Amino acid sequence: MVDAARHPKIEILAYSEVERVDGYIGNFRAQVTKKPRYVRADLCNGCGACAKVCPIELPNSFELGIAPRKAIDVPHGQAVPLIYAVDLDNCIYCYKCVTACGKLDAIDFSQESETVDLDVGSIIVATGFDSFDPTVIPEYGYGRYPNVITTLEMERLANSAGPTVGRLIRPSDGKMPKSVVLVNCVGSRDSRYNEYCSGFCCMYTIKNALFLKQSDHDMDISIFYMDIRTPAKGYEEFYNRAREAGIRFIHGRPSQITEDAETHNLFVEAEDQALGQVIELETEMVCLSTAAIPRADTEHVASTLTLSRSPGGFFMEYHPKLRPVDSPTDGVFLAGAAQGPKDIPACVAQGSAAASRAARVLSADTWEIEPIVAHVWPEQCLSFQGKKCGLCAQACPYSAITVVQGQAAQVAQAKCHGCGGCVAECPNDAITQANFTDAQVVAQLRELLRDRPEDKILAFMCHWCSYGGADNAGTSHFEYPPTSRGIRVMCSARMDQDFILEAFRRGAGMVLVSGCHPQDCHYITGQRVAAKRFDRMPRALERIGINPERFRVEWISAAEGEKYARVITEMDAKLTSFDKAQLRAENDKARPEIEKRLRRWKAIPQMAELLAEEKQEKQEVPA
Amino acid sequence: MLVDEIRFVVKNKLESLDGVVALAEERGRIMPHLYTPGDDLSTLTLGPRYALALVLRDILKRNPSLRLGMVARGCQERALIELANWRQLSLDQVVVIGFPCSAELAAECRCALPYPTEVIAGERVEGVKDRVFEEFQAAKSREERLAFWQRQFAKCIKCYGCRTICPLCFCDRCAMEQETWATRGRLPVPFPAFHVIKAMHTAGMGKCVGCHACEDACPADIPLSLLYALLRQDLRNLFGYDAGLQRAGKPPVFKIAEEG
Amino acid sequence: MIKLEKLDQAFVEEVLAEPGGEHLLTCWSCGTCASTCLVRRYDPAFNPRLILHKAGLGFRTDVLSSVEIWQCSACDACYPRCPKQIHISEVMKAIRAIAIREGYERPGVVAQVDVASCIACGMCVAACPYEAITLEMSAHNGTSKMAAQVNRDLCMACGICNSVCLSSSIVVEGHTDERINDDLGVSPRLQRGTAKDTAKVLVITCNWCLHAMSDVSYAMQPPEGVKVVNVPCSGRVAAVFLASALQRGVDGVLVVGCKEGECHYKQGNALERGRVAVVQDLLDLLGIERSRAQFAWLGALDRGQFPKLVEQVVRDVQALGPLSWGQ
Repeated sequence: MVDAARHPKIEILAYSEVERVDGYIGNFRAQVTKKPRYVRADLCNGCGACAKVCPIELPNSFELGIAPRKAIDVPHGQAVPLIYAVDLDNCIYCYKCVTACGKLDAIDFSQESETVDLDVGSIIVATGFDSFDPTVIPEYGYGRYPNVITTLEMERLANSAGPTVGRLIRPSDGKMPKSVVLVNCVGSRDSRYNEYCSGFCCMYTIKNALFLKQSDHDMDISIFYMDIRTPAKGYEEFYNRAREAGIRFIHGRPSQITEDAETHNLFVEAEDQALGQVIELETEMVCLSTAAIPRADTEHVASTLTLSRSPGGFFMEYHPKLRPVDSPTDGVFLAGAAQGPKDIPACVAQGSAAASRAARVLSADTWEIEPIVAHVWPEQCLSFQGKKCGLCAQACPYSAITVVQGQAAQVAQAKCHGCGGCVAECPNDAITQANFTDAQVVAQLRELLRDRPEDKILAFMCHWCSYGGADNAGTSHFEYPPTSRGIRVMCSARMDQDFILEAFRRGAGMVLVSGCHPQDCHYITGQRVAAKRFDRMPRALERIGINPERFRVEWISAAEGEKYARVITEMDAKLTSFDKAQLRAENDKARPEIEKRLRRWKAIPQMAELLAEEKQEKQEVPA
Repeated sequence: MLVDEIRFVVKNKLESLDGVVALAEERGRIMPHLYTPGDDLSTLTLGPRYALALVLRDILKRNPSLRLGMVARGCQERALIELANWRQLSLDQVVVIGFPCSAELAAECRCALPYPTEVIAGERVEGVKDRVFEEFQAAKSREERLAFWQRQFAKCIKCYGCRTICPLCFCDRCAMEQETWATRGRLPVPFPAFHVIKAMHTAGMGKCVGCHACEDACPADIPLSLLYALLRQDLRNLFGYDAGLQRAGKPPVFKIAEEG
Repeated sequence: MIKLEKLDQAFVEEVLAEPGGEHLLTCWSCGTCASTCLVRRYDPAFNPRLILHKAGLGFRTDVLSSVEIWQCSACDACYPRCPKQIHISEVMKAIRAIAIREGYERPGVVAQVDVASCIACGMCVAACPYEAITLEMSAHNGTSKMAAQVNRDLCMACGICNSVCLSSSIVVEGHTDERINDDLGVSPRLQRGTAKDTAKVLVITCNWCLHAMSDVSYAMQPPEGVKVVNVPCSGRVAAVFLASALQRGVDGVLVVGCKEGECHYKQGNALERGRVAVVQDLLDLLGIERSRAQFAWLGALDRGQFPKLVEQVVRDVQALGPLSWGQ
């Protein structure tokens, strides 16, 4: 940290908050508020004379509440920068600190917060993690029994710079414990709290157990575990060392911890599965190895930077295998436990990776962006016409569209990833997508449904999942009837309701809409937008006079070739069961209503041309 | 006269019923009687209060296919409703021919509802607010209460009259007769287990409808209805239950058993 | 050695398809349930983890013919602690359903109805935590009458039915009224009113409320004047037991059951709490000190509380003096 503080090209803004971030990759503008320390950074030399005389003691979150801090203090002894700050909420304004500071005169109660605007090319989010609070597990007694602590608290007690100067003591009597139990998987791998495995706790538990054994050879140490996970280099050997050192490993998850009210000793009950019996172990202290959980302010950071979160609550990476340090927002990178629990080597590796990814942006003069971005036709835009809309902005997973009433919607193309959701959502067809325009899709529909459309299943597929699924069906030789015809768009969000109507207008027998599973969508929330839209479709079809059984929505992943084949087979069977003449009659009857709903298309450039072409062609086809 | 009106109604009802249970006065004695269609109703009397529901219950138990009427005061109708809550009869089998009690009777029984839900004839009088708790429980010290009940139960000769006449005592094998619970052959009793069981199994279960039959039957004039009125109030406070007031009601045990 | 051919995959599928058995395979055998389970205290052979594991492997005959699958009383102490949130008692029920279909029956003692004295009031039906009792037309004396009928496969022999039946027309062998009453008995020949310095206190504990070994040992060797009697469930203690005890020379009775929500038989403790409340009020009406009948509960985490509880009641009753009625 000190190296970073001294580096000429690194500026550390500590005690500050990022309030908002605008812009896009290479051109971000971050607004940062520097909170007032009430201490002059240029004058304070970190001597600590002020803290010595301050009469107010408060819980110290770094020491996990075990030791106090003062109302004027630094976060911890090695803080960088080493500048003291006043906690104004708890200060009683006795000014003893000012007196103690003396000639340096570094304390300034008139200080105010300062806002700075930073132009930055890339952003790395490394906001870390919090620890699970085991108070919510009643059967473990944390918070009720004084000698049940977390392993992290134990680390502070054992730390020579910690509140007990390295003496591990029992909170109930201040004596060193003769026996300790460490319990793994507290708050993790637990459907009640967090499903995930917190990854690094097995190692830190073993480390702490070995440390305790070193400090007192006679200490009786047991670790209760479900699994011991020591995958990386040297880790399994480390585990072996712990076993050889005489640390007891019990394969069984404790069901409850009770206390002897007099001695404050604890009784840990678990089934020792290797033994095949339930055991009760009396111990003087219990350390719970708690899970890493996302920080409490994760949601705030996510909304500031338009980041998504994975199911466990940590920031979501662009792709878990291929782009693990990129966030879905271009130019914003992730590093460390903020992206998921991991140990120090992994954090350092990820930090280096994120730094190099971020540096690429800084060293480039130009940046390649997605070509299939959205374009707004201003005159068409309802917002431009003074009306209140903004549906496009709502559909965008990347906050790439800004809408101000009275002006046309603005697409920041560098942020656009090309899902096309905005295009389909726009009620006035005022926005289009390069290379996937409505006209292009309609042209494909025209060709695919030219002959005997009522015998065909028109399948709309998203590029990333269901198109891959259809491909997979082919390469895996899953058989299905040859009645399907596919149209690929980038995301199911792009699939306009009008496409479905147009397909039926052109006489399609059946229509399939398919996309990613909700958790797989390449554009994060695109599938959700599509799902909501197509929930309404069956009713709309009914009103028009089309049998809703001719429309189906399926979520098919790229690996689900078997599913794609099965769906088409089922739809084909259904199609065959319909009377073709009746089907044609149904289509004919519904056509005028559909044409009424699609007349809006004529207003769109190129669509008008296409429709004109069609009229010509129609005249060529014999009646 | 009220009794004439009742007789008239009974005569009508008998056309569609198998019989009507009421009190009859014959040769100077008043006894429960089952009037059947065609019977002379001139003997029918409203008489003193009596546990007619008990008679009806026993007849229906042996002859479940009958449909009977009962000339009933409020408490006897409540007894029927409570019996139905305990599945000892079905209200479909019974037609109540109701009449109200006089103000004097209501005062004697400390009855809050001295009339049935439908009064065929006669004037309802207002119920009496039951002040038994204030007058007895709160007003006396524990030692006074103990002395009172010790004196009262000392008179008890275990004649089982209170149990036999109670319309809500319907067990075929009565716990009060089991030596396991109520030891025999000692007077004075070391502990009034006999009465504790009676009280717990009737009023304590929410069965007691306050018909006063027990006290009327007791040859030793033990004020049983006082004890049961106190227990009834207790159950009202603890569980919000009042025997016989709710058709298809759930007595407290059922409620706790199902809802925990 | 177990040969793979013995494993029956169809059995696993059957359990998964049975309502309640859907999550059988998510169990990763952490042992939390086995360590929590109270049944194991009385029968070390009972291990819910092992049953689920065997079922998940496909040991059809082993599992279906075992007595263990009938022993889970659905107290659900394990469920809130299971990190996979598997409703273990429901998996047991699913396995039982399959066992019943294959002709297996619950072994051991279940409740039995004396049809002659049953008056079909329905209390046992309502009180049974396992909905094992229904009212049916039953054969009696050459004819038939409505009476309670016990479904053998559902009955857990807790005896709560016996406790709510006013005429004890439904009994469970092994803890009949007579046997429990015998256990309660201080000598009936004890002279009432004879001054004795030590309060005579009867403590009735349920099978499941004492967890710590130290509490169990205390119950086996209580202090002078205290007698500890054991019943399967605190709900088994009918009001008549309390009356019976008080007339046999006991100065005070304490019923100890499981904490709210922890009753091994679901709601037995709630029944008892209601019952004792009425008994206390009745005692008060009669002028007897209400604290001569007390109900308390202990939770799974209440190690070391039982002696404190008993000592407090003894002090209370001691202060009241001997129970005197007949003089």
